[in-house]
Amino acid sequence: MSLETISPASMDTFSLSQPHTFNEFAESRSWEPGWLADYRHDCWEKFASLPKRILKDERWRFSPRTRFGFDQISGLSLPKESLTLAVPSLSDGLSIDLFDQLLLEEPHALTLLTKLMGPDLGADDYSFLTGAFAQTGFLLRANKGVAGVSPIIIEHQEPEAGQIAFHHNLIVLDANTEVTIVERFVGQANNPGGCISNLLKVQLGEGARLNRIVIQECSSKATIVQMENFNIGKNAYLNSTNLHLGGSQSRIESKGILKEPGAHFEYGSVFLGNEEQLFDQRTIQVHEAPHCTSNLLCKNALRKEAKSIFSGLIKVDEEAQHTDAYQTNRNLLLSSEAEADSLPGLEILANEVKCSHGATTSRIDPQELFYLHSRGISKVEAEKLIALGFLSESLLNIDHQETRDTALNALADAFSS
Amino acid sequence: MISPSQVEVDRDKGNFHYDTDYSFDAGIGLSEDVIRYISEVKEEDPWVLDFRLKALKTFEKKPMPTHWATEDLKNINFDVIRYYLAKGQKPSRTWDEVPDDVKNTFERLGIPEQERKFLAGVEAQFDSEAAYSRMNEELEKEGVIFVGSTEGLKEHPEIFRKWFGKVIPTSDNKFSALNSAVFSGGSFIYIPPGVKLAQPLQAYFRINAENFGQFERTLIIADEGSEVMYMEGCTAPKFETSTLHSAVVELVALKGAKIQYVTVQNWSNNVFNLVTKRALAEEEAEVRWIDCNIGSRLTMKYPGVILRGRKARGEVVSIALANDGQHQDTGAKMVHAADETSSNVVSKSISIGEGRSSYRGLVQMPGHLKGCKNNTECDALLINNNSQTDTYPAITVQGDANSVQHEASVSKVSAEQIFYMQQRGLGEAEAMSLCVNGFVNDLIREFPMEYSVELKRLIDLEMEGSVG
Repeated sequence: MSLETISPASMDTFSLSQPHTFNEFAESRSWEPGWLADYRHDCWEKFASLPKRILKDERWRFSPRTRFGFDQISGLSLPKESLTLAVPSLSDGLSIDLFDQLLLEEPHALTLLTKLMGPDLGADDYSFLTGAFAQTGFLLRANKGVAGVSPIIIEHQEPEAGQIAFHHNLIVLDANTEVTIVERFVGQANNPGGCISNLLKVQLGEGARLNRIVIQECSSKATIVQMENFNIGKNAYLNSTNLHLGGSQSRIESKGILKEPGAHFEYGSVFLGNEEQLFDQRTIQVHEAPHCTSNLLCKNALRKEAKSIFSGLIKVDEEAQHTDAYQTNRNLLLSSEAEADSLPGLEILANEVKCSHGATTSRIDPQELFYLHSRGISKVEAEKLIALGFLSESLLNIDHQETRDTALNALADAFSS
Repeated sequence: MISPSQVEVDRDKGNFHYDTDYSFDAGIGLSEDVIRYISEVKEEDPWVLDFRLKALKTFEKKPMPTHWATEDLKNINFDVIRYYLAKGQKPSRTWDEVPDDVKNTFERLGIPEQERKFLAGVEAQFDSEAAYSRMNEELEKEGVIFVGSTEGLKEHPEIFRKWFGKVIPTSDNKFSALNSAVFSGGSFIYIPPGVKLAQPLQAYFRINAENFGQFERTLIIADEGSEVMYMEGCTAPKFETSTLHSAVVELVALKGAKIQYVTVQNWSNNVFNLVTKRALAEEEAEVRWIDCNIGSRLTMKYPGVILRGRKARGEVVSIALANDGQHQDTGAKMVHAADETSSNVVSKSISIGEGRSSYRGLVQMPGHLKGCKNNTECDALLINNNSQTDTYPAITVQGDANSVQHEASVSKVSAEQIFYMQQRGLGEAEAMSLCVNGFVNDLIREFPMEYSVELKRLIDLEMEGSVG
């Protein structure tokens, strides 16, 4: 039996609030190994037992949570179209595979996916549903000492309106490896407005380096939920640079856990908001071990009625002496209806630490505008130049030139539209 | 490497108590009868009783805010608390009339000396009611009113009823509702237009009885162009069981008025100190909360200013010191509701031993406003390796005509700093004390002279033996 003929996307009465939806889905996947079936069932049970209405949840503070509801969703997107890879010639010991292929060829490789945790920063519903329904995702593995030269490109496709795509992804880098990946979230041209729920779990071994660049250009009707959990080992280095442009509403949950001494977490995020876009971002830097460093910079520029929420926390455990951790949120408001909410938090239990956070929200300095204006640059153009300069800081740190140009061009295009 | 040992806090100044016979006692636990009893002995107007009874219902309905606040709140047992204890209903006007045991208490705390030295008016609250209240006669002639809450509502309803419960509505939070139900004591102050008080007014709050809850209610109205500084101090003896202090303080600064509210909180460390403080600032008015929290088991206090008039200004300056078994959960709220309003928050905290200090902040600027500014700085110093500090600000800004900046840092006294000073002949403890004093020095200067000297001394004492 081919997978397509029983794709649950064709189910008549698909609804994520109905148990029969999951039961029919599970039945259609009865060929899967038992441990995966159990995992899916367990995730569904957890989703089903979530309280229906929570009035006050600090993890959703300031967020209009109804915009992330499931009422409009009437089917699952086809896994084949939902996620594609562009893989350069890879060195031996470095591999990237799709979840559905691996399931047929090497199912055991996926067991780690069920053991690692998600970020657990509030979107429990999406996280459990992804565990229960994911049919695709990527698994990137690097054996000890392997370095990838050119970046691996992963494309997440926005589904058609009414459909939801669940991607469950895993990156495991062994000791002393280095890999660069570019994850692109691509918009739907015909009938846009689908939902992507993307769950990524990362494990970095001793001295491993992962450079990850995310460029999100979904349609302006899409719903995007990204959940990512980075487990960073001894002297390992994670660099994640994120450009968010599309989406009607996005929820981004990023967790960096510095598990062993010498680990470093570098995170940069850029959001350009327009119209009624909502960008709801939650981050946490967890310092579990001593002598680790982390640095996070989130910049949002908001036009029209766009709204951003930044909620970040630096958590330093008692054992994590000699921690160096920074967190910065900068918001630029470009219209009188834009709104920026900022919740920068610190929880420090060790005393030999250097920790600080800063949050600022402001408009463009009129003096800067005047300076450009007096040199013949129109007000609109001047605003654009200043805003681009403000946003591009993180993107300029992308090492791979082609990717950097792609990101900068995408940002400039978004501003002109 | 510095290995600090336990630090002992000097709270001995307040740690004594005399047995007292109370003429008025509402018994143990909270019920409608207790509230009717309180209202009856105070001979209150019917509307005040209604206000209290409604508040009781609100209190019973409201959940504990443990979805964001510490679980320690669950350890408060409202059924064993005594809600009203008083020796008499009228405060004495001269020191000689004050009952001996109460007089001894305040004399040990140095109240009469301070009054003679530099105060324009003083009120001393002993459990539920003020035992002593005195105003400078000249100020009284100018129309300044400085009375207790009962007297304020009864004798001057035309002034106080208008604002009573308006800055902080009963349903603001569970503890403001509790206070609204059982409030007693506190200060109701009115400063007439243009009157500028050269000397501060002071209130002194004392909990004397075990298992007692103190619920004072303060309302200060500064009429147009007036200026006032109000100071409060609090102490309680160390009892075996915990005690509750839950005040509501409302400030109203009318056009161009200035209010400074200074608190030095040194409750013994079995007191739950859950206080709601908020001010309303009209056009060009200025409100400053100057706050120092040294005592208590758990303090939750976030003084706020609602900046309602153009060019109003709000400020919170706070110092918190958390030692073993203490959680200082303090912060500030700045609600901008008019153009060109500005606010400033400077908060410094020191955590010693297993102490925990938290900063919670709220800044709001809606989009229709122009030219609003906020600046927030929170710095935390951690002395021992099991000390804890948290920062949880919440900032909402709409529109492109306002600006906000927030910054927080956490640090410890570095070994290099200590080493540098030791090289120059200072002892290790001395060096540590110097560093900590340097950390809070710029804020201590904001306190009135009498307090800043006291605070410096207190911090020196705290630091004694913290290194070795």
